[in-house]
Amino acid sequence: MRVVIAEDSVLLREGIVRLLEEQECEVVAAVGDADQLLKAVDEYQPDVCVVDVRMPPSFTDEGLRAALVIRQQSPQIGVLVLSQYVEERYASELIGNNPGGVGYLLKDRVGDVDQFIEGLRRVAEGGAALDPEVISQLLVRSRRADPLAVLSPREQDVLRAMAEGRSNTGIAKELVVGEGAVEKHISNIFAKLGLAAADGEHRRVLAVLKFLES
Amino acid sequence: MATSAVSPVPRAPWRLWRSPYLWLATVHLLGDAVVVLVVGLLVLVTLVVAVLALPLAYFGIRLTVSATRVVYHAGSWERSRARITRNQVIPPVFPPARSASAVQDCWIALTDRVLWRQFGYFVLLFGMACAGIPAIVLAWSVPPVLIALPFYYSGWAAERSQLGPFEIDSLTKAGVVGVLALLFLLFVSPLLIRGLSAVDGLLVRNLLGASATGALAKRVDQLVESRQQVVNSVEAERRRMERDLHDGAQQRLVSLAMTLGRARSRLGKSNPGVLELIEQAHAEAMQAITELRDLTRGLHPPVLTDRGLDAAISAVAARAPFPVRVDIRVPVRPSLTIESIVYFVVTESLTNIAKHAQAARAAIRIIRVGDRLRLVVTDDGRGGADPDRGTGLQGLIDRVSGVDGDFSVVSPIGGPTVVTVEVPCG
Repeated sequence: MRVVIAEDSVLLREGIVRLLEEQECEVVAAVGDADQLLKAVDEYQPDVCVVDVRMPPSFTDEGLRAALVIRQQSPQIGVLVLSQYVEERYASELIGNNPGGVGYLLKDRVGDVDQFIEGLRRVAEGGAALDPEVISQLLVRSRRADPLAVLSPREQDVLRAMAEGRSNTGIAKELVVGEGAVEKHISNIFAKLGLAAADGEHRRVLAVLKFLES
Repeated sequence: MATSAVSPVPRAPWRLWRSPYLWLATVHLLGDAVVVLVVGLLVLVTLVVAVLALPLAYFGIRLTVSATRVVYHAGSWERSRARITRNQVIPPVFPPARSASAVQDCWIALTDRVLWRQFGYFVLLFGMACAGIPAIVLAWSVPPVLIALPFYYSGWAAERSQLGPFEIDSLTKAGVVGVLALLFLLFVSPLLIRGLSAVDGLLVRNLLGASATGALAKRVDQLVESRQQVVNSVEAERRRMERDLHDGAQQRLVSLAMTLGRARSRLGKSNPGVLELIEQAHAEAMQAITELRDLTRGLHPPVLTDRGLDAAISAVAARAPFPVRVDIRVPVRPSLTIESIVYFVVTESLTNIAKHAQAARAAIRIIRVGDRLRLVVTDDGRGGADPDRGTGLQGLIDRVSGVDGDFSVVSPIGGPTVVTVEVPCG
């Protein structure tokens, strides 16, 4: 896995570089601002890039805008955005109509090494990794009257994990159940929420997000 | 508030004689005449110039504004004179501050009530001078002459002298007049001068000084402004603390957690005892990160600065332990301070609801009404929220009143509770 890292804090950048190198990833470039990020992506064509939202010069959302450019110009390159806070509308902008190869996590989750690496791999392989906080916010802003009232608590856990972009295997591991059980839960959820059953993780994520946003 | 302090003026005439007051007051009253002749004329001329110059386009407007300042200077000089001779301290008045446009300056200058009050002073001073000069002559010049009457009566005065309706034709009569004049000089003259001086002092105080209500209004303006500055600086400080924590401690902790994570994977399964310790340390680091994140969000969440109320409050609502509906319609962002205070009210309200209300659900609604922001937080809990019973409402009220906001809570026993806050958009 070839990775480009864009993070202005030297401490975290070096930490992520070492972490990834130990995980047998090839860090082809580690940069500190959005312009260098776009240059590095052009030059190295990595599998995935890790992008901090706040970067010089203005420390607002340069990273996010660079991420959108990369998504548009090179859809095959995965983008994992790290942010001090997660904002559901940032997520919507990033995902657009295609949750493939996109991740959006709280910066602090980097400390949770296994989760971070797992999310990064998912994004690199064209999957999705969304922070649980994004999903919670979507639920709050959903204009439907309590969209999850019809689901059992277990089904709600599965729905969240699914919306975060996890595969059936990932959900099974997280909730400590068999994959068969996960599949059954998922088909129940789709039936209860009146969603057309979707194949593949992308479509599933998209279906759930669309449902929550509508 | 400053009041005009006049040194105590003796009331009894014989005490008046022993204080320098009499002479200073006399000098002041004489000065009135001089001032009327010189300054009064100047003020009159400048104002005439001011009004006549108005049509002369740009130059005239500038001239008008300058002319009105002359009145202020003259008033200031008069206040100084009152302080020197009567020890009368008058709160000063100042011309209105210059604005961006000359035309606006001119309009403000000509509709300035303080200016016209001072102008009125100079008009009335003319009357003061007309009364003051004869009074001084009557008090200080006439009596000495009459006191001397018996002495020169017998000498080189005419056999008879006419004094108003009285005819003085004997030494006895002249003596009586002399005594009466002496009594007048000793007892009436001081009172006469004192009375006039007091009237003069009243004029100065009421027409040249800052009026009580004007001074109060000004003070209120100053206080509102300084309170605004305090509130703003506190909010700015909170934002700075949040940034410093994020750039410092938070990043170090994340880095520490990463290092511990790497240590864990390097160690593998070779040393279960150490592995357990590292896992524990990693879990604690993650816990510290979460706690610090919550702390900085309480200070001033960066999402609020970057993305405004809607995003920040959605995030807060998402973390609440009960379902919260969020409906925020604020197309134009208010000031950072106001945003911060509204956010604080929301987070505190949700905390209160979680602690006390036993609510199944809550709703947050923010709309803009004219130039104010209205926030309504409702919950279906058990009600009975009372600011006086320390249910966390007092802190909210303090924070809202700091920006001239209104706060109301309706919370019957059994619920529902409705907290309504209105703040200016700032």
